Amino acid sequence: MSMQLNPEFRRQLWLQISATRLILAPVVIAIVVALLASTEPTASSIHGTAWVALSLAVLFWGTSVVGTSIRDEITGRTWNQQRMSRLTPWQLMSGKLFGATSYVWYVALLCALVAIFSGRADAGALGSHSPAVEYVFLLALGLFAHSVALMAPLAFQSGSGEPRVSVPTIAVFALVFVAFKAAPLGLTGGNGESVHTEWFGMTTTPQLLAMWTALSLAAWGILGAWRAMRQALQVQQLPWALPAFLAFIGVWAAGNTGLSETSMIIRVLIGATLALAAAAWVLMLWEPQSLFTWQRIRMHWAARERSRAITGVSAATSVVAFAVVGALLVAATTVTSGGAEVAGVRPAGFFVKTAGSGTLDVASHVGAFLWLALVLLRDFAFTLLADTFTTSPRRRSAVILLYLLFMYVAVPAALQTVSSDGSDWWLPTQFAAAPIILALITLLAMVGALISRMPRTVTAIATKS
Amino acid sequence: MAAGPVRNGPRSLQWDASVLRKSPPLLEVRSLRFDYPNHPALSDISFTLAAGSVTALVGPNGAGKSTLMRCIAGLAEPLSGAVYLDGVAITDNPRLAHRDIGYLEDEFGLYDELTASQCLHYAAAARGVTDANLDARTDAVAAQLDITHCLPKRVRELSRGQRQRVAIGQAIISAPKLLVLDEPASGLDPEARASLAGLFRRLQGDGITLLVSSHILTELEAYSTHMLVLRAGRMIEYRALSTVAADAAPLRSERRKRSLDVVLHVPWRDWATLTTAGEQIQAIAPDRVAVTDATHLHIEAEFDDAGQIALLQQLVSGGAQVLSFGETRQTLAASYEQSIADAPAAADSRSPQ
Repeated sequence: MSMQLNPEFRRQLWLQISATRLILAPVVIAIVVALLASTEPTASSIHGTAWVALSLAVLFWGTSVVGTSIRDEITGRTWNQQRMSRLTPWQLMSGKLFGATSYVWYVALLCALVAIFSGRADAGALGSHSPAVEYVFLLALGLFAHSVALMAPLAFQSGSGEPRVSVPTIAVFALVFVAFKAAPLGLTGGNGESVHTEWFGMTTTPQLLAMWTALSLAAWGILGAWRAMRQALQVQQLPWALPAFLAFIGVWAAGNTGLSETSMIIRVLIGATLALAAAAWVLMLWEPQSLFTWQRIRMHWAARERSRAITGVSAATSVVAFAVVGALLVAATTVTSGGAEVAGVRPAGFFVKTAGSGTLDVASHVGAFLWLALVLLRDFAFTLLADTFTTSPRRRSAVILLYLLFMYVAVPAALQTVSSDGSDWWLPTQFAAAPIILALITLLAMVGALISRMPRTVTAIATKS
Repeated sequence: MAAGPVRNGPRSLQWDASVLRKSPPLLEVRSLRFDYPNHPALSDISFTLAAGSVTALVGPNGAGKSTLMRCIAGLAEPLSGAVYLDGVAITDNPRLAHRDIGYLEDEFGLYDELTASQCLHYAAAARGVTDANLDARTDAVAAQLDITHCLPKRVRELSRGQRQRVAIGQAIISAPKLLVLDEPASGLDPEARASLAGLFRRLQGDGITLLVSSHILTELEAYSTHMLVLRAGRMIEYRALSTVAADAAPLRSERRKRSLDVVLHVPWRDWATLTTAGEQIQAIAPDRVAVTDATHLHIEAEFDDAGQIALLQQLVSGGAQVLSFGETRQTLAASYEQSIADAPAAADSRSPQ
């Protein structure tokens, strides 16, 4: 088996590659280059056009093709046959990731050759850094976009457990476009100036940092696509990858933001926790958290199938859990260090207003993260509750959105109208016991409501097992 | 609920029924329960399928047939209960069990831009057939399904019946032990349906156990050995289907209710007045002899095999000119209607949630 060509990759080649298509691409490219050379005979214009074509092919055409590869299986009713095959998750994932884009990569290679050879004739267009950095960056960002497009329909499943067909590839397009535009590459017209940046105290160039970031994202993307495929093929796995990725994003951001005066530990913890918390709210809004899923988890747990129970938890559940643990770790680290880790800075300033000097004392810092843990749990309980009285995913999301607006906009605004510092009773804008106590009370109320709404079947099934 | 003894009629099957009777269960479903959010789909389903059997899964729309098939195929995880295929728990290890299951959905799909040959090659390779054996296996399955002439054609150029066969070919390319088919005859014309029935008999003859759902009961009747009735997510009945004549299996000593049809050469009114056999029948089943017409008797009573033979001997020795004598073959449609009629309470009640 190991010597065999990946069957899924071979099938994709059957679909994508033909003699006609192989000949067509270089002919079209040659015609375009000839036209450009006749109208504007400079190497830089050919290089620029080839680079743009290469970028469009890798980032958008490839993403589009991969994005439809799973969707076509689902709508074409061939997906279950693949799920029941003996193809490994890696074979299926890599077959689609690289097979579906085989023709795109072929065209991209031709464009890259044109760009490289025309670029050499006009060295000024390459900027101050090696042109290889640009190509590696583009390749890595393309791989990241392709893997996210492959993963999206699998990772975000509908309530019935079927992959969502309607996950818009346009969201991935937007993500890629933003990343591409934000990348400090000076892609075609670098001015030769030497710019440096710091990341966790290390000095590097923005171009190299962007390249390594894109490579890291590509690795995470491929890991995510592989794990999403494992899940689709019913391979049990612990839900650590998404929280780990979010933590990576938080840590990466923390290395390049204004937390430079804090210690490495607290910067990593705060970055990871805030990224996890932000993603937790998004997932709570997006991902159904039906009690039906919890019934199954509870049954496995009661049957002492602990690992199977844990593998059944949703992405939102795992992210909330890690975010809560992260918040508690930040608080604990602050306490155990006697405040030395956070003295003189405002690391929680992301969501906490600071007064006067712009710094937070230790108590405020600890209180803010304790509050964060409590409200995450409270809001998660509400999402479970929303599943008991809403009938459609859209209505569920609307209810949760209204709830979040009420809790984080309406209530503070109402309190503020009562008193100039009224919102301080609700949000931990400076340390006070009130927000924590109120968060705890609302959490307990939410859990009580949830238990009272829990269908009798949950209890009945658990008792039976 | 275990299946009763299986008997096969002479018209339907080419395999040895005694083998089936002795076969251990290939598939075992235990207390299966499946819920959709806010909607129970299957409740407490338990049964076993003997190796080599063909089970007709019948029931009205929404009965849970497709959900049950998806659970058996390991594509849907039940809330509770278990499914075992040849000792492997599908619910715990679907990937392992998939090696021995072929599954065809009611609305199956094919890769329209590939040729039938490429489809079968891909299915074979994806199911673990080595490159060296791909051509041989593809050719063998194509010959088995009578689609050799379709191999070079693109799938989108094939008729629905031919597409159906290609899809079945993909499902059986790895020689599964169990083939699960959800509404396989849906959309086929009568000729294609008849052809499909013949194909299923051949697959059964090759040793594959089949579970087939369909709304067309007459089609299922042509090849089914068992019937499993679902209604509102509950199993109403699972039993072997009776056939026209007993097979050549050894005598069975258990007494059970049997329905016998007797066709006489001499009309009943002439014979009954002068034979002791008539009295014998009345003694065995005084209230259960129906005279359909002058030459047809229908007898319902408890017999063992020896009793049934003795009755025939008495009829003949009493002077009856018997043209035919044997168990009534109840049609699948009649069995289904009877099952539904016998269990209205169970069928109409859903478990309180």
